[in-house]
Amino acid sequence: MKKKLLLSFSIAVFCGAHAIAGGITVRAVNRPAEKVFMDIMKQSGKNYVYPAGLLDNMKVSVNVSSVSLSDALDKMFYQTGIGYKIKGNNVTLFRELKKERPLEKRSTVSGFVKEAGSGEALVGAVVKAGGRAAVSNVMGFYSITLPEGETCLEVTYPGFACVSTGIFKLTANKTVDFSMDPDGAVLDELVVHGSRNNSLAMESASVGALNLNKGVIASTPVIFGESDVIKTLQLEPGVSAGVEGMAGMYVHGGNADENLYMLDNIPLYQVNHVGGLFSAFNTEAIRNVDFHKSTFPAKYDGRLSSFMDVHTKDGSLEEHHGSVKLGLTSGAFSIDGPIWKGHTSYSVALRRSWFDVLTLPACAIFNSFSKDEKYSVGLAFTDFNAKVKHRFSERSSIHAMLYFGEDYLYVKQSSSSVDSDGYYDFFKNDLKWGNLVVSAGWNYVVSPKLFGEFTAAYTRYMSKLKHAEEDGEQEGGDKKFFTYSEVNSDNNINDWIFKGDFDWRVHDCHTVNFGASYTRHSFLPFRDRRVIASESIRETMADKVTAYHADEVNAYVSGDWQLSDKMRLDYGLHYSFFNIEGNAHQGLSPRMSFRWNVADGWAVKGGYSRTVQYVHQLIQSSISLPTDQWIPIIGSQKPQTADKIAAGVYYSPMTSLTFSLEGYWKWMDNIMEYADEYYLLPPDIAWSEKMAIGKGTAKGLDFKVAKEFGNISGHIAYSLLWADRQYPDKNHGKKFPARFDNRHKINVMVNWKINDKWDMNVSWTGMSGNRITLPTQCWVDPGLGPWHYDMILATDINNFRLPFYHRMDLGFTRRTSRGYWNFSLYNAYCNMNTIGVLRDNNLSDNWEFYPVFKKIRLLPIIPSVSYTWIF
Amino acid sequence: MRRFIRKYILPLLLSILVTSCFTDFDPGIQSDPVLCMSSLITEGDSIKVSLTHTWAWTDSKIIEVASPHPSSEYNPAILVRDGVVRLYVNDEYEETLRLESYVSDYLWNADYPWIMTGYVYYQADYIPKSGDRLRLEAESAEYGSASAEVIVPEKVEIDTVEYTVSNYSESVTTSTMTYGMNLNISAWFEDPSESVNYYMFKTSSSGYVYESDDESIRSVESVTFADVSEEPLFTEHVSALDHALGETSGYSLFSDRQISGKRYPLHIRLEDLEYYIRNQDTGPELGKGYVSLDLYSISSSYYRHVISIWAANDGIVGSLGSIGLADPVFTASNVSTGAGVVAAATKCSYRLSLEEIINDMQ
Repeated sequence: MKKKLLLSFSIAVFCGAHAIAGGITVRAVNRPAEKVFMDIMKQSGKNYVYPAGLLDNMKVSVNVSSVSLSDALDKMFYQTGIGYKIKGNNVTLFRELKKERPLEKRSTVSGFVKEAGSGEALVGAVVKAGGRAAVSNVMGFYSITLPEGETCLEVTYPGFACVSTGIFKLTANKTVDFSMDPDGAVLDELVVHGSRNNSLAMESASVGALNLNKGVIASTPVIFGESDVIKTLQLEPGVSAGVEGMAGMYVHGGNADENLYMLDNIPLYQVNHVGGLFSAFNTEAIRNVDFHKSTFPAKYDGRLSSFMDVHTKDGSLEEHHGSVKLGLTSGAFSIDGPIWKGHTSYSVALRRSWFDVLTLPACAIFNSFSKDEKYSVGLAFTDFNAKVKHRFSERSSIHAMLYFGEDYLYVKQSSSSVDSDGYYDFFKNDLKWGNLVVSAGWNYVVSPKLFGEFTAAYTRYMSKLKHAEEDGEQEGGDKKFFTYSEVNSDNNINDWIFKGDFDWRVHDCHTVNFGASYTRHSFLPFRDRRVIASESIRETMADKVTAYHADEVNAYVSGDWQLSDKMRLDYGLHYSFFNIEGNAHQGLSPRMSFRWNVADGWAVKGGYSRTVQYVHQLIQSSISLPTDQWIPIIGSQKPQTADKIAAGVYYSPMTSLTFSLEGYWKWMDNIMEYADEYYLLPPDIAWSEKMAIGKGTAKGLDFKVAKEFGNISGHIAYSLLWADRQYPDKNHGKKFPARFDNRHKINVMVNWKINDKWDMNVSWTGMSGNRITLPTQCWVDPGLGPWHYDMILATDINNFRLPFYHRMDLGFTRRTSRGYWNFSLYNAYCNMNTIGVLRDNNLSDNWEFYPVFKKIRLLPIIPSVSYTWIF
Repeated sequence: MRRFIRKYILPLLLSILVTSCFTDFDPGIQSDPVLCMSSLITEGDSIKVSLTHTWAWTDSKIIEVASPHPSSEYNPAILVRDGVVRLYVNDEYEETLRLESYVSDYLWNADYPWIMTGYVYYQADYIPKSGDRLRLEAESAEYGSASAEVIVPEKVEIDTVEYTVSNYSESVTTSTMTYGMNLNISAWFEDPSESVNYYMFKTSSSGYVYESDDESIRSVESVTFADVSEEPLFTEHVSALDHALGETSGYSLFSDRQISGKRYPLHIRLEDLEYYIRNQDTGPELGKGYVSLDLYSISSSYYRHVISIWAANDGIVGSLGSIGLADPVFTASNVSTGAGVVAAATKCSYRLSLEEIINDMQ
């Protein structure tokens, strides 16, 4: 036995040239204990002996300068259960025997982790003490329970200088807030070289979780230089972008309406502008973004495929900051600062497009040449974010948030004057659609172990389309209309939301989140109201669509349990109740995922999630139209559900580098789309008569290598996907591939910090093309229509895959003393990708037409520039 | 360096930028033709059925025949001559249709066969009447079978016509008198309440045309193109978004959704109408001239077919679908194979006498 024990010892002898006269200096944050120990021994010049495996999987943080060897080792092995003995020139490590001790008295330290200066909450900061750790939540709140006595808290956050309390005596529950300085990262070498996403991959039990901060979003090169959180997410594996240039998101073979987009935990319905060209999230207003695509926290439900929570800036409690951005397509302004220094802050961000700056003079020029008709065309979008936060005390704060986003399009035409016959006419189209969110919340530290957040919110989605047309005649000054018609289409959702969310640190290794919410929905699915009038008759026809009222109750409980050093478990259950017009539906969504550290730097994860969706969007095309209406399930319809299993393997040889390979399989039921030939039904027919209800599956693999800091960072991602759909009322009941069944997708993203002034960003995307439906057979025109057209025979849906898509985008950022320039090249090598196929006729040399299919290749190289002035 | 940029780099960049947005290609999708059956059945007329087969879009050989000036009556390359077509009336077998064909000698060039005139169709002896439920079943050894059903709609009459005349003019030459005018017409009809009805409106006229060559006056009947843009019913299938971004003109079909069981005036404007009559013999010729307001009661298959043509070509979703940005709008068919339309229509005409109009103005 002794031999075995001896053999099991690894004995190393290091003949140090000399012991450092000034003592031991070590600065390490969350580094492997073995490496730190070697460093100390190297400095001490002593020999060392310790049992094999003693320091495996242990990470320590030490910050000492010119101290004795024993002080350094004391600090390093504090509360680790490892002891040491220094005898002569030898140091021996051993595992301390656990002594039967009287029950330790423990107290809890809690508080908030914030960014110094701005006071913004830092989400995911790690607070460590004596081998225990806690992570700050969305509000920056942390809670850690420790044995009473001398202790020392250290906080680490990627990109920020480590902050420590120094050793203090803990005798009772205590509140400690941390302010972390991002600028300190530049000056202090004790920078945390880690990343939130590395932590999510290696430490958490979540599969497919991602965190993005404003910097990452802003540095992603995109079309027109309009940084966009959704376009940043499009570079992630498992996320299909949809049509080129658009801010679409199709996660793991899901539909566009299966993603829950939240602004400070409040759902948004309309999430893009200008047909989907830009998302509704103004980067200037964003603090960070949480995104889940594979396993989902029990807190979230209501969509099948993904959950994205955008956290907006709180505003600085100390000083005013602002920025003005001028880009090619829009301008943005943001400002934040204290209203009452140290207590109340505000944050305001406004973005508006410039398109009408182009359309108005274009119309003016046209009208100056047109004698008869005068046109007026306008197109614009606006985003407005505002937030006020007030801190009553260390335990209590309130906030209020407003978001308003709207698109509008108007086309107006009128006769400049009555024509020679005495007739006049005009028409006007007025289209508006968008969101309004108003919310107020109260955060309260109920106890050092229990954090609560109470929110009340009102959210309104609105799509209002109006067309009016009048023809008449004029005699003298009297106008007499001949006919008048009006079409009004409205789609509204009004939600009142009340919710409470709690974060309970049951134990250092066990956190429980629970909460409940109530939502009062008022849906007005597209209601068409038409007026036809003449001198002798006036008919008003409104379709039979009525407003629906629904009550939705959600409750959840979830836990994050560190079962051992190697095993972590997330579990949860989400219950939902949806009562619409007397039809009650219930959903139970169990969630479970685990992480197992199979070896140092290796993690294996697996999980299962069920999601339930009661509200969905009927989408007519691959671009976003204001007629894509949001509707609830009604009558005998069942809620959409998805069951998803996911598993992954993760490897991180160092905190800066993470390899991940995730697989998933998803089964979707009761999903809805427009049925075949829905377009033949009148526009005012109830939407429920136009729908097909079916099922779908998606399966695939996501692979990613990410390097998240350093002068060169970025990622390489590959995803493999199969996604299909099957509806009894579509495609003759046959299964067909999903539209964005992009079988292979590769993304490369590189950020290069060239020097203090210049950054360069490169992204390359290559993927199997989208699927489209390509009619192949024609039939002869029976001559019933007003003129001759090609008669198209129905064919299988999504029967053709567009050619392989690839594109490279370049972005350069030049920092100046007052702000920064951004130069970007979309599609830098001008590979005009195929976005669709046109059936057309070519003219031969013999002046004969012959039919052909033509690839439509749309976007060439698009340069853009913007300047952001920071004050 | 500048010279290098001017000589090589700029032309290269420009050539990239002006690269064609459209590239011909062969998608390589195999598809099989199916039987296509079409017929427009009108009350009181014998039934004629066109039997053809579908063809691949890129099949130039067939397209040369069928596309530039397609005629359902004679397209040799797609005709199905070996078909058997059976007619069932109110679910009872009535008869098997006979093949009728006629090809004129009007053949200029064998390379241009579509210039041939003629017809090949299957004809029934049965004369349909309103309310008949007709089913046609067709078989072909090569292209399989097809069937379709249609109900011959009931006649709906225009009972009253009101009109106002503007821009009235008369001009006299040595041999002719010319009357010119614009007509604003309100054509009243009552929709039967007991059924779902579909309509189509057309105008035609009968009058005289002045031949400048020999200064003669010739009697003609012709379709008169009316300005139907004022009538809101003709755009009832158009959504607010399509009004803003799509094309709405050119269609004069409607359903009774907004006017079910009610009397309603259709508003039509006929502009720049001109009538020529012989100066010395005004009365008789003037009396023969008329404007015919034709209200067709049409079957739902007719309505759906034409609406699908509008949706495919002029609606927003169809326009997006035609380039792959949405599911394409397929041409609506009530035939089991998805190809062809068996439609029915019953026409009712109201003749607006030219003589009355001119007398009113004098």
